[in-house]
Amino acid sequence: MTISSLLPVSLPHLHPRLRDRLWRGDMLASGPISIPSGFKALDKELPGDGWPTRCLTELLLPAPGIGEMRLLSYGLSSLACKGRQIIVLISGEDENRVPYPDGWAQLGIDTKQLVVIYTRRPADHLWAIEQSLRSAVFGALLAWVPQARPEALRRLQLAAANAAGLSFVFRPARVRQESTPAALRLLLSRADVEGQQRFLSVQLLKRRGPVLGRPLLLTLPESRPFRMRLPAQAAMSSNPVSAVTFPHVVDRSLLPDIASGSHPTPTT
Amino acid sequence: MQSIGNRRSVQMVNDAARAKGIRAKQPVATALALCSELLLIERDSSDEQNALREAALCALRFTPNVTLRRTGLLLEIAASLRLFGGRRLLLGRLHQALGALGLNTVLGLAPTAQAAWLLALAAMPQHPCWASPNDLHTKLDALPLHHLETAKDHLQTLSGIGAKTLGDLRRLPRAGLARRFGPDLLDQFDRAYGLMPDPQIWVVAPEHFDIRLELVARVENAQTLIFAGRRLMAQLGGWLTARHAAVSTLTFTLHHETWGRSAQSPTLLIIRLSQPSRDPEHLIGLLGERLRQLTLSAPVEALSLSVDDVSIAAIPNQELFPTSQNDVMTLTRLIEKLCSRLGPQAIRRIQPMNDHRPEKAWESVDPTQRALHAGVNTAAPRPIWLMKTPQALTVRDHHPIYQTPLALLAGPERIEAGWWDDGLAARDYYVAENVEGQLLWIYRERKALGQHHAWYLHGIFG
Repeated sequence: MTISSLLPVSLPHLHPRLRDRLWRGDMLASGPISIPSGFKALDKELPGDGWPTRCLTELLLPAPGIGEMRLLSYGLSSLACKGRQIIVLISGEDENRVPYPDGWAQLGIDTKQLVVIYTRRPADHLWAIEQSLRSAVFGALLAWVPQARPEALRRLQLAAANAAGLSFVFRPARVRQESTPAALRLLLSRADVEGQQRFLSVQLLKRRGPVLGRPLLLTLPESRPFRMRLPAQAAMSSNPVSAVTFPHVVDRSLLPDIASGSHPTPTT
Repeated sequence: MQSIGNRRSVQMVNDAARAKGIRAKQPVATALALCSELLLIERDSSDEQNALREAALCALRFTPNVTLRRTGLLLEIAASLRLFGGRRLLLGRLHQALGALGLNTVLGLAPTAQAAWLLALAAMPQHPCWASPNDLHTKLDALPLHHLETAKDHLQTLSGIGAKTLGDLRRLPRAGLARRFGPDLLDQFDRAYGLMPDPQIWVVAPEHFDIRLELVARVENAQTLIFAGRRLMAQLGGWLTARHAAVSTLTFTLHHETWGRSAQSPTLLIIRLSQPSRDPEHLIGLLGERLRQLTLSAPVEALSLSVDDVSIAAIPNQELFPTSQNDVMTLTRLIEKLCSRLGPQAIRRIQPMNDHRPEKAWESVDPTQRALHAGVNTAAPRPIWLMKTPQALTVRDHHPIYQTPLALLAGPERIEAGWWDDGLAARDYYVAENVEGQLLWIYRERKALGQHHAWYLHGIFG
């Protein structure tokens, strides 16, 4: 009998009890419940097949508005449908911003479920995030943290362990060189592939599992009106020309057409 | 130290004094001779009675049956054992609750009231004395006689006939004992051993809660008042539990010290809760946040707490799984906690309004209000974030710039509204993107012919 025939092919196959206790280098962690993100390519690479609960997820953005909310929209809208609250914490730097109800409705989230917390000083901001995490009363928590020390983030990560909801922290992309206590770290940026197509490039900088070398390219779900796109040439010209306009209630030029029934009304 | 007539004697000593050789019942002169730096505090029995009353209110949280004795409390906890998770947990919590009042407790536990009292008198701190129904007789037999109050006058006689412990007393003939020492001794004895019923008169919680606490020293920093606040809250917790009530408004009064003739008016701290609460921990948290922001105008010498708005409330059911109803209750508590530090305007809900102009299409409301309006349903793209004040964009070669030149993707959407209330908005909205990938909602103000168009940033898509 040679030694090789004594060695089992794979320990988890040998005994099902060992499956949960054994971790091999190429496996992803299977932790607490996770919420599916809505993107199959992303779910495959996330431990637990979705956004992880009970820990912090860090999203690094080079600039606001590149698609972070659309990335989260599927998960957030599924939580809002179940009646869970979404807590949004806005720091002093972004005081000018306010969540726009129609925009959130287009993502599928009713602003009735939204609680917005404005803070002025960074110390108050971090305290408010920690208290909200400790209360564990949310389905999802979104916090914009422009600057924070690693010890403060460590406290937030520990506080997030109580909460059975999703906790997202948005930070600027320049902190990617610093280490983070968060369990999951994504770097978002815009990627242009094949000319005009617009992708969101998601790089998994840190996760509970092996490092993913290549970034994922995701197509964000654009809401319907984006179909009304300007032709490529007109976008670059000096006078923006409208390719498709739709009648507005005060735009009287189209009234005769509408009255006669010859103008097509847009379907909602 | 207590004065009886002309003689002053030491009543109780702390450990440091005991190490120097000072014992209870020594004359003061002897004590001062042993240690010259001794600190003597006059014994004040009214203070002690106050402390006992505070402890009784506090203990009402654990059981409705509390009675006061001259130097302690009797609590009947048979019905509370199940609720608080067993004997050990209950005694631990009781010790902690009374410790918050600044009291060290010795505990005795027995099936009968008198037996529990005697065991407590014989117990050591940190080691509660417990007698189960089976070994009640054994434990009581071992106790020395001087703990029995009715035997205090007869101690010499009893030790003369050889009775030093309760067990010895039990072996003596009962008729003889009654004849020699009176029926009271035998009654107390029987009550301890459970041979005679022992009804107690329980303390009744007062109708109104209005307690004043004199502080030991003048307090100049508002934050240190939290320790006194804890003592008051512990009593409030007991009172609320005894009356099955929850409180909505608390009024703390800080009494400042009087300088000569001028009496400074007291400072009032009113804490209003959006939902009636009975939990002392939550109330202490709210008080702590208020005190942190308060600066005292004068040193405080007393603190009093009164509650006005009390409603009868049932204990909320503990739910196994988080449901949305449970969420709403704890959400209110979180909002209260955050508002106590950040101010009442920090937490808002955004409600859509019926207006085409984006800056009027939303309203920030108090989070406890319910949504009343419905927004304008539109098929056009709307951003996630709206700027409260639109930001003017620099224009180069008729192209608007936001860090990099913007490319227009969709539009224009003409919004022209507000001629009726002087907020006329005549704008063409576009969805634009810059080189970094930011999707922005910008508009061009429609002005009269000949003037330059002005570009503004109004929103950011998420």
